[in-house]
Parts: sequence; structure tokens; C-alpha cells
Amino acid sequence: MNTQSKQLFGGITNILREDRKIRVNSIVGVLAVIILAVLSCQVKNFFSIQNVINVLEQVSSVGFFSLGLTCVLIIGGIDLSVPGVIMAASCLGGSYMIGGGNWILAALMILSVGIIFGFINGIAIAKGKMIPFIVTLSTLVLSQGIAAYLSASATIYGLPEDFFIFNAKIGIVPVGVIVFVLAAILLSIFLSRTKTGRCFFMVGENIETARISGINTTKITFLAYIISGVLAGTGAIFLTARLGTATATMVGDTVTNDTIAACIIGGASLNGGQGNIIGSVLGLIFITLIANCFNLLGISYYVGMAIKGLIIMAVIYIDVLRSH
Amino acid sequence: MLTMSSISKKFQGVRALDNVTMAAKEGRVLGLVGINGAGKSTLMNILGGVFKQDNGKIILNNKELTFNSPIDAYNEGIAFIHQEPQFFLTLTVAENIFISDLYMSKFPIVTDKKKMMQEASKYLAVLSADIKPQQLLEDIAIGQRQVIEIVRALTSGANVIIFDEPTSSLSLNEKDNLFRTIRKLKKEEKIIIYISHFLDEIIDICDDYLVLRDGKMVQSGLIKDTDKSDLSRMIIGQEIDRLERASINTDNKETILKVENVYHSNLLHGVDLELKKSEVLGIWGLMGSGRTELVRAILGLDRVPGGKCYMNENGQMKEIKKAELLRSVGYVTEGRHFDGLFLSMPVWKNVTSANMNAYKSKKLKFMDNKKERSKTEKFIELLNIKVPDANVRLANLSGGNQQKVIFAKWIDKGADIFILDEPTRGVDVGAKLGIHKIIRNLASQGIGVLLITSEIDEMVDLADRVLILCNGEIVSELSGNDINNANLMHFALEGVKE
Amino acid sequence: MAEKSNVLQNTAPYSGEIKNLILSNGFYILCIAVIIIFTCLNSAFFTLTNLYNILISASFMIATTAGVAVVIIAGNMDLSVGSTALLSAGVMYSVSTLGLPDIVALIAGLLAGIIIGLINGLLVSKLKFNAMVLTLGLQLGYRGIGLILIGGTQVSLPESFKNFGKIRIFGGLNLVVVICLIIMALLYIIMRRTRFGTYCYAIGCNETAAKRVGIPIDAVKTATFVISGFCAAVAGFVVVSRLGLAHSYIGKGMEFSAIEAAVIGGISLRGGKGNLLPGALFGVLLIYIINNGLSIIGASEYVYPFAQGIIVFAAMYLDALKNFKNK
Repeated sequence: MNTQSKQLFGGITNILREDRKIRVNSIVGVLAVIILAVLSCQVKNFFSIQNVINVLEQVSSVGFFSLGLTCVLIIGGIDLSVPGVIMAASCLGGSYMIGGGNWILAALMILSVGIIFGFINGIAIAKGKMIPFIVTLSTLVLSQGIAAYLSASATIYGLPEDFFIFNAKIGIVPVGVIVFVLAAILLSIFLSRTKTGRCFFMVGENIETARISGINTTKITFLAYIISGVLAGTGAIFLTARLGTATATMVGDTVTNDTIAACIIGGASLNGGQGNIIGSVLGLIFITLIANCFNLLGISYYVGMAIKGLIIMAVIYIDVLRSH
Repeated sequence: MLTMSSISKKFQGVRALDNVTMAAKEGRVLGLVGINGAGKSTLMNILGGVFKQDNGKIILNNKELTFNSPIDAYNEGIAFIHQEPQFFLTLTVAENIFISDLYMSKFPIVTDKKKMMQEASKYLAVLSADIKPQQLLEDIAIGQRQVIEIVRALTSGANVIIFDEPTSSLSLNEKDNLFRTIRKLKKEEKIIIYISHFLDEIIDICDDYLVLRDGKMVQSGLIKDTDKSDLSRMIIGQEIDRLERASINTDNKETILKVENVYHSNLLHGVDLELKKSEVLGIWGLMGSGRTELVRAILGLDRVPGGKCYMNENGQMKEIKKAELLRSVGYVTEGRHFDGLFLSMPVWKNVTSANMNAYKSKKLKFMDNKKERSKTEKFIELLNIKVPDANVRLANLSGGNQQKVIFAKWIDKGADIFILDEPTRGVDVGAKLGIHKIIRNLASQGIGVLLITSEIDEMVDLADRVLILCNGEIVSELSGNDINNANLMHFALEGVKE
Repeated sequence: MAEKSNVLQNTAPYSGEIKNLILSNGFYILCIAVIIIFTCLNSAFFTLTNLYNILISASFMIATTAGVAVVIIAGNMDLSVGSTALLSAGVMYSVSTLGLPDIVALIAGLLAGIIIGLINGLLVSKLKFNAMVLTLGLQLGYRGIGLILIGGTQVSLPESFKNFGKIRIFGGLNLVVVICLIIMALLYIIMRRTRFGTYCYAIGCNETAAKRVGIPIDAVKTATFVISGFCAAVAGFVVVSRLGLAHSYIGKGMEFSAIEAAVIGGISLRGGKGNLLPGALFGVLLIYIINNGLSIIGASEYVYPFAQGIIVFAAMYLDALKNFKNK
């Protein structure tokens, strides 16, 4: 290497060494490019609008979970209950509808279940000062139990036609995707531009300082879990419409895993005080694309699961690097 | 005899130590002095095996030593008593003492708890400490925990003991105990290095001194050949300025805050106080007398019964709920790293954090970052905060500048009452004076300042009135010229005025 | 003048002696209350046979919780124990079909648990992964491997496994139950009376200080995961020996129950605090007492998760109250 390229190389490695964040995010970027390259080779018209929408549709099914989880992670907590809440909400609405109930009321009921569980989590954690992990674990178990009870451990099917308006398309874009994107944008603006949004970061960074500075930390914590609950309920509506059925197992086992990973890839930290909505969405897209990649390459389910797990572990390792 | 000769150390191009030589003898105490950043910590970190010197040698008892890690230094008998010692709160005193070297019983892996307790008792008795080895560390008062760290050093057979700002969290009584302990250690022919910025203490307990400035040696010698002003001149390079002001009589000032009947656990038994506008009211008392608890009780941060608060509203004293009072005051807490700072956020976000409503834009209620930044720039200038710009993360600021940012936060809020708890702890001499000026300025603008401090000089320089807190009650009040070193020292040692 | 301690005792002016007593022993009072309630609802609850049934069904969880408690005390979390139990069962089955003596299959299964523990431990300590995220992620992989090994919904294991489960000692106690209790007791002794145990509490309490005083943090942390993995493997064996077969639902939700049991029993998720005996043991027993009680009074299957959730909430609330007083 001649002197000039040595200097250039040295300069770049200096930047990379000094700013871990750049280095870390560029690794993710490189991986993403590789995956996109593979996919665009295997899939015709990968970058076509139709395909982009397909991916977004996949993402938005459980994407609402990641939006809520980002908020909760930012304040330094965690919400493990969402998959169970989605299923309980869905089974409640579903069983109501096949019993002859009105679809609008059903949708409201589904949303309410999310709100109620958000409320329970919020009270226990914000007012009761209990540990988020255990509390949301308990509500997860509770909500799964409710889902099992309501569905009598079977599949609820035969939902009324009208309900499928939630799966309709505006042009070629499904309603669910539109709502998801809107929610993401609104939350992102909320967190970055408003006072309450900034309070989220402050509570997560140092709750004592926040309290002394006059922030109502109880209210903020409570709000984060309510938001998570509302989003869970919203997600349940669109998921039910998309699947057309409600069961106590409609949300897969890997979802919590993937969502936490997506949020951390997107910049959140398990210690609180950090998080980025758009980053979480991109992280979720990234993970979804990996799964799609494996499908296309014909990799078996279990092996694909293992490799996906490894890639996610590697990227989460980046969170470790980032925080040092 | 311990010698560190011609030590130099560079950190990323900055010379932290430049050819420094230090000598410490058995049975004597060497005082290591200098402002923050002068190089004392780096020198001691090298001695403690945390860093390795670029040049120079460490020689202990005619043996040259090389350390690759703190464990190496530990094994050579060098013990560090840190400023904020780290303990295992859920373990017992004995376990904390012997954690590096737990006593094993006849069985290969089972610990011998009885022996640990016995040995611990022995050493605790040597230092006349009133601590039982089976107590849990979380039940021991913070001021007493230091003895445990000293015992830990002794039991590990340390011959060199380094004290790093040991009296920051000690009451005057505990300080006395510490000095008595150090004198005992001297008799045991230990080599003692004492780092402190309290020159009173250096003069009191040390036999020799070494002054560092900007990483270089300024002077070393015998304590008996120097005095406080001499030392301070060497440390700063010039005479320390103390705050000059005329004594203010606050009798005819309006009361801004009245507090009645404050109780707190078994520490406070009904405390009343009145804070006037434009005055600095000091609360003086022993560590553990409940000064911080008084503040936390008034502000409702601890759930305690009693304690009515009244605030001045347009000339009338109106009762106010504690939560409301918390929202109206500026509270500079005792431990900024615990609850005073948002370390990963930039300066401007910290400065505006107590007054965020004022920065919302008119139409959309978004935060107006530009407005926040420009206000912060004003504070940077006004309070002389040393930062290149307002975007620097708070973690990168020195203690003194961090404290100034906290002051800026409360000034921005426009609080009429300031409560300060050890406002210059961990702040070096230069910044200290700046903060004192800020405090007096606040008072002159009509703000009522409640001041808790353990530093006699600081109390004398700042307070217009001083309340003495003792045995859970206010026992006395000083004002005017009665606020002086002698009286404050007297109350600290004796407790009750005759 | 004597120095006053900084520690809050009671908040003046109430003394609340009885209140304090209730709080510090709240958990045991809860246990007793639950037993009394069930006995009143159906006296068949309080028979020796039934109580022993509770112990039998709880036995595998006792082993699991002991291992998980060790990890939690050292400041981490192990969410992979359920999958480890499944994988161990799968290994035992696979090896047993190779024609080797059954004892080899057993050892292979236990070894699998140890190896998983090693993997978890090394990743957490050397690569500084967050234990919760790591074990949450890896458990899918372990479960996948276990499912591949079992190959279907359920498979039979050789007779000797079931026969082992039938062995009784001391005139009536199943050997497997005794083994689980011994594991819990052994781990308790290790945690309270050995250097390793003291190190675990120290690391869980204050890792920075632990590093400073020279405690081998990586080795200790890895060891805790190995213990947890081994205990999970034992749990897998216990389940398999009771049924004589391995099925794909082994270990489902086991980690969460174990953590709940540990937390109910007073082991703090923050680390450094809590006792295996009597705390964690009674945490497990309480959960199974409730399950058993509910089935005796004929409650619908859907009530179980509710009961469990409520008990956890109650225990957490008690704990929060206790902490609140000691603030």
C-alpha cells in the first residue's frame, strides 16, 4: 500500500474505532445490503412496489408490537405480555362476532382488551413499583389463559364479512399497512419532538433525576404501558382480519424474540433511555427479510431458525458494543 | 520506603504526568495535593496497578515492582481506600472484609464463617469500630463503612495504604476516628499516602507533602515547614480568593417558606424552620443528624408524616402540598451522579429539563430546539461553564461544570427557593469559587437559599443565618459575626451550645 | 454523643409492630392461608396422599428452580431451561435407540444439559451478552434440536427409565423426589457455605466491586449456567421417568414458572439476595399447592393461569411493600 492509501485507510479505521456507533450501524447496513442482494436475485421484481407492500404487510402484522415495545424500552421497562394480549383480544372479538355480535363493537372490544391489559401493567409497574419483567410475564400467562378459555382451545372461524374491512385495500395498499405506517410516523414524531416524548427518554435514562426535575414519572411510565396496550389491541384487529380466524396460538413463539431483537437493532437498549421507532421498524423489516431469504433459498425451518437466531445474536452483540 | 521515581504518563497525546518523583516512608503520612486534573489520581492509579507508567520506576523496600493489573499491586501489599468505596450490601461485614480471601474450613470448599467472624472482630476492635461482623452491610451507616474498607486493607497485609479523599462523606466525629486510626497505622509502620483537597486536614494529619500541578511536581517537603496559604499558593499558583462580602442582616426580610413539625424516622423529632427571601440559610449538623432527611421530608421525596409547609404567595403564607413545593423549588442534590444529571444527554437538554413547557412552540407544541440551545448558550456564558458548545454530552464535563449545569437548570425554571445539599462536593477549587458567586447572586436577586454543607469555610462564606441541627431538633441559631469557624467547629464537636 | 444510624426503622409516629411481623413473614402466611382455604373447600386436600402428590408433581420444578435461582442470585437470568429439559430428554431418547446401556443414555442427557449451560455461560460472560435476550433467543434453537431428536409428538423410552421412577426409599418416598430435594438442599449449602456461593451473591450484588477485588467473574457466571443447565436436564429426566416417554411439550413454559417460583420465594431479580431454602422451595410448593387445590375442588382448567397470575401479583405486592418500608 502506498502512503496515500495508507493514510486514507488509517483515517477510516480511526473513525471506525472512535465512533463505535458508526461502525456498528454500518455492519448492520452491510448485512442488509447483502440480504437485499440475495433477495433481489431470487425474486422477480423484488424492488417493485407490490413486493415492498407485501413485505410491509408481513411486518405490520406484529409490527404494532415493536412500536409499543420501543416506547416501553425507552422508559427502561419491558412488555412481555403483548402476544398473549393480542390473542386474548382476538379471541374475545372473534367469539363475540360468531355469536352474532356487531363487527364494530367487536373491533372496539378487541381494542379495549389491549387498553385494559395496558392499564393493569401500568398500575402494577408505575403505581405498584413492581418489576416489569415479572408483571408482564404474569399478564402474559393471564391473557394466554383467557385466550384459551374463550376459544375453548379451538379455532374461531366464520367471522362476518363486514369485519374484513380491516383487511381491505386502498388502491393496492392494505389498510393495516397504512395504519401501521401512520402509527409509526406519529409515534416517532411524538418521541422526538414533544415534551412528553422527551420525558420518556429522561425517565429511562435516570428516573431519579427525572423526578427531581419535576417530571411525573408515574404518569410517564403508565403512559408507556398504555400505549403498548393500545397498539397491541390495534395489531390484534388487523391480524384477526388478515388471518380470518382467532386462536390461542395465532401469535407464534418466536415473535417476542424477534421483536426485542428488532428494537435493539433499531437502537433501543435494555437499560432504557435509548430507542428509535424508525430504527425498530427497519430492524423488523431486516429480520423479516432474513426469514424470507431462507424460505427462498429452500433452507429447512429449524435450520433457518437457528441461523436467524445466530444473525440476530450477532447484531444484538452490537448493542453490547454500543454501550461500552 | 516507597519511591516512585521519574514517572511520566501520556494519555492520547496529553501529558498527565511529567517526570514526577514521590517518596513515602514507613510510619509517616504523605499528603498528596493538587486540584482535579493535576495528576494525583493518575499517579495513584499507576501505584495501584490500574495504569502502567510510560517511564519511571516504582521501588518498594529496595525492590523494583512492575504491575500488570490491580491484583498485582494488591499482592504487593498496596491498598487503595477509595473515595466512594464499593461494597456488597447484601453480604455481612465479615464477608465484605474477607471477600478476596475467604477463610476455608477443614472441608475443601466450605467457608469457615466462625473464623471469619472472629478475625473480623479482632481487627474491628483494633480500630475501635462499633460494628459487629455479622451485620449486613446495608444496615451500616455510610459514614461507618469506611472503617470496614480499612480493615479489609489491614487483613490483606497491606503495607502501603492510600486514602483518596476519605473525608468527603464523614462527619467531624467520624473524621476524628479516622485520624485516630491513621495514627495507629503509623505506629504499625505502615506507609500512608493521603490525598485530599481539605488543606486543614493535610496540615493536621500529614507529616510530609507533595504538590502536583499540571502533571508536574511543584514542591515537596515537610508539613511543619509550610502552612495553608503556602500550600494553596503552590496548588493554584496563586492565593485562593475567598468570597468577600459584607454580613447581611435578614431580620426584616419577608419569609418565603415556613416549615413546621418535620418528622423523619427516628432522626427528626419535630423540626421547624423559616426561610426568608434574599437570604442564605445554612443547616449545620453532624453527618447523620438528618439534614438531607429534612430536605427529603419537606419535599415529599420520602413518605413521612407531619411536616406542614407554607409558601409566600403575594405576601400571604399559604399552605402548600409537598408535591407542589417540589415542583416550585430548585433542588441541587447531594449526589449528582445519582439523581442530578442526564449523563447521556447534551448540555442543552439538561439545562431546559426543569422548565420544558417554556420551550414548546406556539402552534404544534413541539419542543423548540433552537430556542433551548440559544438559552443554554446564555447560561454557558453567564455561569462560566467550560464547554466548547451546548451539544456536549454531560458525561464529558468535569464535576464543577456539571454542577453549574444543574444550577442553570433551576435558574431557568425561575425557582424562588433553592435547596442546596453539598453544592461543591467533588468540585475543584477554581470552580468552587464560581459556584459560591452564583449562590450569593441568587440570594441578592431575592431568592431564598437553604444550604446544607459540611465544609466550615463554605458555610462561613455563604450563610447569613445558620441553624444548628442536633438530636433531631434545631437547638440553636447563629447570625452575623457569630457565623465563624470557631463556633461551627464547636457545635460540630460538642453538639449543644452551653 | 452516640452517632445515630442512617437506616430507617419505622416511620414515626406509628410503630406497627404487628404490621412489620406480617410483612416480613407475609409469604409464609400466604402459604398457610391457601392451605387452610383449600382444606375448607374440600377436606380431601389435606391428606398425606394428596400432599405427597403435590410433592411428586412439584419435584421436577424443584430441581429446575434451584438451578435458575443460582443464576438469578448471580445477577443473570436463564430462560432456556425449558428447552434444555426437552433437549436432554431428546438426547436420552436418541442415545437409548443406539443400543447402548440405558445408563449411558441418562448420562448423555445430563451431559447435554451441562454443555448447553457452558454455551450459555460463556456467551454471557465472555461476550457480555445480556443473559435474558441471549437465553430467550437460544432457547428456540435448543427446542428445535430437541424436537428434531424426538421426531414426533411422543416417543417411548426404555423400561428402565420408568422403573427408576418407581423406586421408593425410606418406606414410601420416590427416589426421584428425594433426588430433587437433595439437589435443592445441596445447592443451598453451596450458595451459603462455600466460596463459590459467596462469590455468586457478591457478583449479583455489585459486579464492579467484585471485579475490583479479584473475583473470577467469568468463571463463576459460567458455572451458574452450567448448574442451571444440569438441573434442567435432571428435570427432563424426572418428567421422562414418571411417564416412561418423552413428548414435545416437555419444558413448555418451565422457565417462566421457575422464575415466578424463585421470585415468590424471595429471590430478587436484581441479584445478590434470597435463599434457596426455605424461599425458593416454598415458592415452588405454593404454585403446586394451588394447582393441586384447584383440581381437587374441580375448578375449570382455565382458572389455573388466573390463580397463578394472582399469586405472583400478591407476592410481588408484598415484596414491594417490604421494600417500601425499608427505603
